[in-house]
Amino acid sequence: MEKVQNKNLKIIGEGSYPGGDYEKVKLTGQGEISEDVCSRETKIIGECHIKGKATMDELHVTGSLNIDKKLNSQRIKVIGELNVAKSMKANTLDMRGFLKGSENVELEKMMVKGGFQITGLLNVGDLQVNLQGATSKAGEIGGEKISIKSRNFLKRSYTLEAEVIEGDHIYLEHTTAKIVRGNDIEIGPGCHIEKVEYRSTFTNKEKNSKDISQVNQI
Amino acid sequence: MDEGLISKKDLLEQTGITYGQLYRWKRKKLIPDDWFVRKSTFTGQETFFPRDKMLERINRIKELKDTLSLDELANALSPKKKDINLSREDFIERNIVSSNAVAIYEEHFGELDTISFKSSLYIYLLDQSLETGEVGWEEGRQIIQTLHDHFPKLEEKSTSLIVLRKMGVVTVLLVTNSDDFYVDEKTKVAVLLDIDTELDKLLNSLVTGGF
Repeated sequence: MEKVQNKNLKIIGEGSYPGGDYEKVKLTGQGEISEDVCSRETKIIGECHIKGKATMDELHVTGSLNIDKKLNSQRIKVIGELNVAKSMKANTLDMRGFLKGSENVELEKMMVKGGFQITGLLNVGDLQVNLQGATSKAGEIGGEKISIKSRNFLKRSYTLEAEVIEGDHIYLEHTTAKIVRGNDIEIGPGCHIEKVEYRSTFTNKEKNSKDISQVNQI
Repeated sequence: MDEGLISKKDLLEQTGITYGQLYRWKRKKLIPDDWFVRKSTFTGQETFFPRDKMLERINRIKELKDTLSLDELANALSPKKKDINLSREDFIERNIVSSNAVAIYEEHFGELDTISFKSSLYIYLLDQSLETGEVGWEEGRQIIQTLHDHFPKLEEKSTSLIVLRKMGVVTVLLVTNSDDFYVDEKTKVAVLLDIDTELDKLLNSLVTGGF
């Protein structure tokens, strides 16, 4: 299959297309791209499956997007679902819904309303999460600002499970972790943490909580 | 515990940087991914780093970060991407490599007017191999060909160049993350060069050569 240069790809309805370099990719309906794809602007409404590597400066998804290899991007906005089978790298991610990453995820800024499941390291400069919908999981979380909340109109709140969380400023709610390390750490309701290591300040909003086993200043 | 490694906690304590800075530098590729060594300890999984390399790198980042932006820093620290073009005469005159090494390269890829940084690294590696006295003209061509074909794929990793000789037959290997390896007694390791170290040496000789 020949690669197409500098053209727009438009899929309306259902279709399967080869990859290539595009200016714009626009998909409404259900589509499949069978190879690596490169584009400046991508808009997906519906469902899309990319069976290769995706390099997209601007990515908007309403619906769901599956990528079998790496994803490289600048700005990503998702309402719905994003699954990346290899590593993922972008500048900003604005998400309402669920993110699944099988390897490391690197972002400068990430705002999530919903949840995520990441097996590797989630490395984010500024992470703001409002947990909803389902249990979130991450192997490791590292960054500068980390804020995990679970605020909901309904009473039910959802949890985050992580092995290690490390950052400069950390605020956690409804989080289960083995180790939390950082400069300023603030713990809100519903946390289970085996070990907290902090440098300058530590606040536990739940004064009588016994769910934090060990607190050390280093 | 391994002497050459430093735990993340000790590293941050010694250098006075924060977790956020460490992760930001990792994202900006100022610290190569394969320096993050995962090991299990009694507290669970911990991350370790090669002590000397890491301390040196962090000191350099701290020195430079006030004057350069992080992206510029990334370029300065991963010189494999550096845009230097040297003229052929300068390269030989300043005694960076022998003219033999250049001749082998040119025989293979045609005459050179200017030498890109990548080619200069290849030629430098070739020159270092020739200097050992274990490698001849014919093997030199093999080395150049291997570097040219496969080195770009390994650029981000720490790679070693190994030349094995067994009963006069030569094998050229590019190996990533090689700590130790052993060969059978009839095989001789003719050349073993850590490309990162050689790269630093080349950069130094370029700098002292006035580029």
